[in-house]
Amino acid sequence: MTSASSMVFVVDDDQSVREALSSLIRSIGLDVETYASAHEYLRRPPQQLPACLVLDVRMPGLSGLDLQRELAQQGREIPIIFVTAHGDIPMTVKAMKAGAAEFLSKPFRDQDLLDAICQALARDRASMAARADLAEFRWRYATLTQREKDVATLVVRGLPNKQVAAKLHVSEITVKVHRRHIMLKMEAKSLPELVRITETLRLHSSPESHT
Amino acid sequence: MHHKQAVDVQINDLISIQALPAIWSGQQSYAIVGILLEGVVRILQLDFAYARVRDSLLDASIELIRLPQCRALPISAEQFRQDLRDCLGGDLPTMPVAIPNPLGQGVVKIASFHFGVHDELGVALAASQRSDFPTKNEMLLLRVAGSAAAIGMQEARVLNAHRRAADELERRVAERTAQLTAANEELSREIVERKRAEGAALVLKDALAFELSTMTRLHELSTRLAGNAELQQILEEVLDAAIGLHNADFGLVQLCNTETGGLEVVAQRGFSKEFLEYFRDIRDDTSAAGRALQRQACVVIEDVETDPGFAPHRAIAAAAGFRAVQSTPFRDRGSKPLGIISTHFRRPHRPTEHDLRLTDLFARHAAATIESKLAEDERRKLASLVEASPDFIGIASLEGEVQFVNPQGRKLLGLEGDFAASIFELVIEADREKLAKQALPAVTRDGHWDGEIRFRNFKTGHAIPMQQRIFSISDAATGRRIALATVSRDVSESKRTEQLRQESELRWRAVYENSAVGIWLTDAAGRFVAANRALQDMLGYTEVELQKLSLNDITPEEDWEGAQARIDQLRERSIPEYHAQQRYYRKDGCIIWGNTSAALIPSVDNAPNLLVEIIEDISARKQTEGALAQAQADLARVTRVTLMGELAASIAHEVNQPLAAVVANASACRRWLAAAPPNTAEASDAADRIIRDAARASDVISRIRGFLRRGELRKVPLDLDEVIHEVIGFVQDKLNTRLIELHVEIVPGTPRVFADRIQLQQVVLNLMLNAIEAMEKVAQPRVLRLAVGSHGENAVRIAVSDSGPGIAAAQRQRIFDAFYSTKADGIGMGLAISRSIIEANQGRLWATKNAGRGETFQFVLPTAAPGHP
Repeated sequence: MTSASSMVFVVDDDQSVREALSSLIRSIGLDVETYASAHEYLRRPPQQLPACLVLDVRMPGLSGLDLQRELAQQGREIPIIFVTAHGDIPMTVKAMKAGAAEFLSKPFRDQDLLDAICQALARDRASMAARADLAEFRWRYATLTQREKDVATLVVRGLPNKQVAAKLHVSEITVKVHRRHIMLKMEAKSLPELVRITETLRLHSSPESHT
Repeated sequence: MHHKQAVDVQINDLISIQALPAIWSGQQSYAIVGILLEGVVRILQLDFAYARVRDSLLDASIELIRLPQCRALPISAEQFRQDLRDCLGGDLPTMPVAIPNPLGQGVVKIASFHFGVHDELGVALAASQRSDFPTKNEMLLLRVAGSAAAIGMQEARVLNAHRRAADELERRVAERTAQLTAANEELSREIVERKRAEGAALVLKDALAFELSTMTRLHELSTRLAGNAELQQILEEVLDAAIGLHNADFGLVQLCNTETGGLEVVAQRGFSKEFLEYFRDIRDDTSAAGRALQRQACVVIEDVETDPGFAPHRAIAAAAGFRAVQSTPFRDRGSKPLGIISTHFRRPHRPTEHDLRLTDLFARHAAATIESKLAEDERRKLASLVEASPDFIGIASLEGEVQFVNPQGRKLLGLEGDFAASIFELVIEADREKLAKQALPAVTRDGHWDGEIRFRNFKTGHAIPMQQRIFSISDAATGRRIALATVSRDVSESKRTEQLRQESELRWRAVYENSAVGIWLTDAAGRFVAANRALQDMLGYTEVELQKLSLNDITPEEDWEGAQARIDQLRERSIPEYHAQQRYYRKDGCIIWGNTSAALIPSVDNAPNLLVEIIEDISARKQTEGALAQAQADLARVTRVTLMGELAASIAHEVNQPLAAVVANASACRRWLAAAPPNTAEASDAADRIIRDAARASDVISRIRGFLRRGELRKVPLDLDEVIHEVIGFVQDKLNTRLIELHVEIVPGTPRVFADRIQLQQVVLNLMLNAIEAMEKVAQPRVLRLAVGSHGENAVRIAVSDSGPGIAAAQRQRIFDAFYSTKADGIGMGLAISRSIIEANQGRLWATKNAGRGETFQFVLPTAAPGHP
């Protein structure tokens, strides 16, 4: 892993904790940025690299949970590792439901934290890739004509050409032509691949509608 | 013999002879001669002496002979005379001669002497056996003696002559006197006889006069008695008459008391109060009156001093001054004893039969009068009773004709003036049959009938309900029925009252029976007299079961005292009623709470007072209250636990932060050192931070330790305003939820104190929490007052006051002891720790009772030294 390939953010109101975590994380070769409050972190522009957030639950002003909610609202997806001096179960449940990656009680074993960070970064990296594929697929899908989108919708449902033609009141030949254009434009080498791509698009159709 | 002695003897003898006339002076001749002979025999020591004298009085010769020492003549006088005559011859010798001793042996010498110039008065012989007899002197003595005797005899003769003359005179006088006396006696006898006759006539006359006066008096008395005299007056008249009759000194009249059977003095003359008191109520037969009453006959005690039966009363009789008494009983016509008339006498006395007979007559007469008087009084009383009676009293003939109606009866029936009516006319038509078929036959059969028959008012015609008693009146002597009578009462008023009472009773019974609240009545001993349905349901007992119980049986034992005290106050009338929340046992053993009101029901007719208690079952409300209190207590506990949890959490946070940093730094340090090549700079930085953070953790821990128990203090100058407001922040919630007003008074310019901040806050917090808890159960307003100000030159006082109940005197001593708590769930450390904290800060903490409600806890702390601004 290179230092440029990822970033770990630490948000804690306690300077000692910030310094200690920073040193520990840097000791395994990760880049670290520390913030003394949630507001301070929010002022930073969203990261482009795979990253994770080590967040203290109890802080003056916005608490860790507040920050988690705020980030979700802003659509800034980042895995969060909560650390707390006195974690309780309701708080843990709340954090995990909101998508927390890990919940650690202070003081924690160094390895537990570092493992959690590595896993979070890997997950973030994967989700970043997924996010990149989706953008490509959306772009490709946008190149289809309306007739081709209609045909594609029916084809990925597994309908034979004949039935597609019947449904669309066109000839079977026409269906075949559309189908070839679709495969070309979507860069799908086979029908299963087309199905996977359209499935991905369909899952993220809501953001698409907002985009 | 000496001459002198002889002379002396002779002189003596002569004197003796000379003394003889003194002895015989006034005597008769023979007595004189006798004395003379005795004298010479003795003086001249003769063997005998003899004399023959002529007694002038007797006019006869008397011979006398005397022997020495009065010896009797050993021979007969005749013999002696014969012997003497034989010796001397007829004449007495003029010269002494010796002759044979006629009285013995030998010879005696005889000397003769004579009485008178010649021997006309008599002659005497002296004889002695002495040979020298008679000497010259002896002869002389004899002659002297003879002369003296002669003189004496002459005197005697004269005296005799005088005496004889006197005797003669006396005899004649006596004779005459006897004659006169005889005549006189005759006369006297006649006089006496006449006087006796006259006396008898007089006595008879007196007796007749007395009898007459007595009879007159009796008649007068009867006349007066028959008049309208009062009984007392009659009694006194009778008594005076009896006293006069007996000529007695005192007297009294006693009447039988029919109730006690004793005798009561009703009239008296001459007795003291003490005496009357003594004989106030006679029953036994020791007194004359008592005896007379018992015997029913006149009793006379002639002398109380000697009468054995009267012995017990002698002293009082003596004091009263009488010795004799007579008591005469008197009886009514039925021979029933009525009383006694007694008269008393200063001297022992026995009244004559005549007097006693008269007294008896008197007494009988008085008795008749007294009896009629008594009967009249009785009649008058009865008459006034009838007149004044509020009842209807009427008398009718056996045939039913109304003869008498008393005024009240007339008024009731509207009868006026004379009227003639049948008893049936008095009765309303509807009840006439009842009178005829029920009442009158019952009266005939049983003598009386009780029941209700309505009369009618003659003016208004209204029916008057009457409770009647109809009865027949019988002649006392014959027992024959002579009239019908009724005593009856108008019951219309009582009927109305009864009706009202019944209505009231019904109303109240309805209230009592249907009331939702329990009602009971208890007697003085707390026993149930009555209990209504609601109470029975409330307590689970039937009324019969309750009537076997007392108040204490259904009251928890620990409440007895209070309940009894309240009841006592009611009974003593110190309170008119009371209202209290009390607990009762149900039959099933459960406790119920009652809102109890109690009052005393005043008794009528001296019956014991009853207590009425009204109980509203408030168990449900109490339960709710209990649950609420429980919930509050739970909440308080939860709050406390939460507070503790939060405290623990903040402690954990405080310690955990540096601890977490230390752990993280240590891990980092190891990793920097384990890197290839080791990054010593980073490792060193991490190690430095470890030291710093560990120190910080330690710091926190030591502060907490100091907070919890005595440890190192961090004394700094503290601004109390700031410290206290931080603490208020902790308790604000509690103050709000418990509606406690907080008054904070911090005097401006109060100097800072020199103390450990956390400890100080701990103490203030503890005191405030205590104050809040103390006011949990008191009514509004609940006020927590925090006052801060200077205390002298170098100290500041912080006072926390509440308006709670205050601390009980018994607990006051112990509240600062460890493990002593007045709170149910307190561990008893708060005040102990607070005090040790304040003392560790050179201050002191104490508690004082407020003037009004509640308690004030206050402490003083030294101000910050000038070096610490």
